[in-house]
Amino acid sequence: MTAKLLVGKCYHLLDDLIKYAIVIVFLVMVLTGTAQVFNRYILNQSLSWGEELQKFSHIWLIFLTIPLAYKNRAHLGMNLFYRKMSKQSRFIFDLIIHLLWLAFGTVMILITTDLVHIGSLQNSPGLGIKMSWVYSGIIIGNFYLVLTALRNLVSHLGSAS
Amino acid sequence: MIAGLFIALLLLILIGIPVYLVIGIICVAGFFLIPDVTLSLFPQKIFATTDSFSLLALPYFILAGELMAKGGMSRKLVAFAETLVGHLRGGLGHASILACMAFANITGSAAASTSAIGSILIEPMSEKKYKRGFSASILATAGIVGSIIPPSMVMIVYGSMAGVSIGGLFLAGIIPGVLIVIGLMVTVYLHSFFPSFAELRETTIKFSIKKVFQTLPRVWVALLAPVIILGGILGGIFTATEAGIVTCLYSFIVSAFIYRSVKLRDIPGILISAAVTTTIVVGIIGVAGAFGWLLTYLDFNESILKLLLVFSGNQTMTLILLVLIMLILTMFVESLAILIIMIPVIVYIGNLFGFDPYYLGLVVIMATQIGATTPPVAVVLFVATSIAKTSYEETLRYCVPFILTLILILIVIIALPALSSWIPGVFIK
Repeated sequence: MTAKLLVGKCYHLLDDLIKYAIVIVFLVMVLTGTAQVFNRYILNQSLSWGEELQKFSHIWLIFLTIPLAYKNRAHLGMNLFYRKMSKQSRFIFDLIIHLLWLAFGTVMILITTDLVHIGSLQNSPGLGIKMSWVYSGIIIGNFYLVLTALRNLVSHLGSAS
Repeated sequence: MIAGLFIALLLLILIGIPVYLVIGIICVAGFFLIPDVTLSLFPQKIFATTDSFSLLALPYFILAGELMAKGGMSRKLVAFAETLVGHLRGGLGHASILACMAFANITGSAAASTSAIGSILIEPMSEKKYKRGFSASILATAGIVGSIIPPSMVMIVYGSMAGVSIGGLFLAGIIPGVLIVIGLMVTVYLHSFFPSFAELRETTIKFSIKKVFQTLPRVWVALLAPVIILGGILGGIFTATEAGIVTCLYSFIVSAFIYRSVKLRDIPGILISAAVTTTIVVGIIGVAGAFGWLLTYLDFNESILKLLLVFSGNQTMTLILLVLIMLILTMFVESLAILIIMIPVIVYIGNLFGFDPYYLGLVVIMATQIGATTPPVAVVLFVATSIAKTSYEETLRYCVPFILTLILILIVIIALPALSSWIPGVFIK
């Protein structure tokens, strides 16, 4: 029982952490964008790194938020047939979807690892950082996706009994 | 192989698996199965698609919309629209159409316009004995202007993926957007001549110019937002992304300091909510970009072209066929997913036949939006129906004249390319 409680607490902490990260990344984007507009129109000079910082933050933002959207059932999908399903078939359907998320997240982690290795040899032209920093956002996001899918699976199976 | 992937994709979306997941899984299968293609290309293609500066307009405009919506702007816009057109036959119907148009200036999505304005106006309309299915039909079709009047999420998606100026697409939407508004208002008005729509002939509100000026101070900030966006783009000052940033700052200053409806502690919640909305769209764009690469690799564009050439050789027929394909696909499958997947094909064919990019973009976008409002699968109609607390069957009884009006306007826009290509042609070099 205590182990279950501990796991629950860890998940809670992780969720909060990710939310903070999303807020910070979004703020970085908006503030950089503002600085860029200010520099271009008021100071008449352009920021060489501004565009890249916004684009790369955006990619991090997307992959960190995909699991959150999944947790909130916010992803775009059609519920035409789902609404007509019986309780039992809904249970199976949801189970399959959780398993698919789990499998997809796992595959994404595995195949993006190669990309991160390649990225450690490339530097971005604007910021001058290693591209592996950018790609690792995809891995971290998908890692959180896998954890979210596991939790959803456990609680889904728990709801059956 | 291509046909198999494509059909599997449509089927999986149709049975209700989230669109992002469906395209992701199909891509993994495709990148794995096709010889000479490695799986690690897949995340690389996702990266290449999302690594786009013009796509940043999306999170910025979404954030600006969230900030404005927090201030109860939709309610104020409805009140203003009522003072303008409430005295006409079917006044509340006209007011909801105008309010949708004004709200479209800050939200940029059909479903968002419909639900924001609908949740306020449905009950007053029902009190005036408007049939609930009729109200739902007005709101669903008026929501379309959310995607045509700038800023529009769909246009940002289309522009950044097709490599067409988003500012130019925004400008292309001005005249068609106004035409839709006028068309729908005329449709409401014509209904009032039928005996079964007696409630539309009862008008209680009197028009007074004094009242218009009384309510104007409450909404001028929202009405000024498009002036900033379009003015900046028209004057060649901003790109769409920069316009998004400026609109964000504008909305923040207005809602934090003028209306005082947003407090500092609301900001994290607003950012999270905007991040989720952004991710739902950009996530799909990422995987769909990879899927599009796969389709191009397998010569899907060529196959579609060959199919089109069987039926037609000239420009007009090709466009009509393309519009029909998009209309039919979006009648059954989620429209944004269809649009994103089809964009590479559309651009390929567009270049080959020498279409004006803004004209082509606008016509295709409008076709997908009409498809999304047309039964059997009509997401916006579902939204409007649930807000109106009526049955889908009841809405279907009344929506036909409104959808026919939209199709008629689409035909006019196809027949007269200048309606969409003239303004961007003048201002975008």
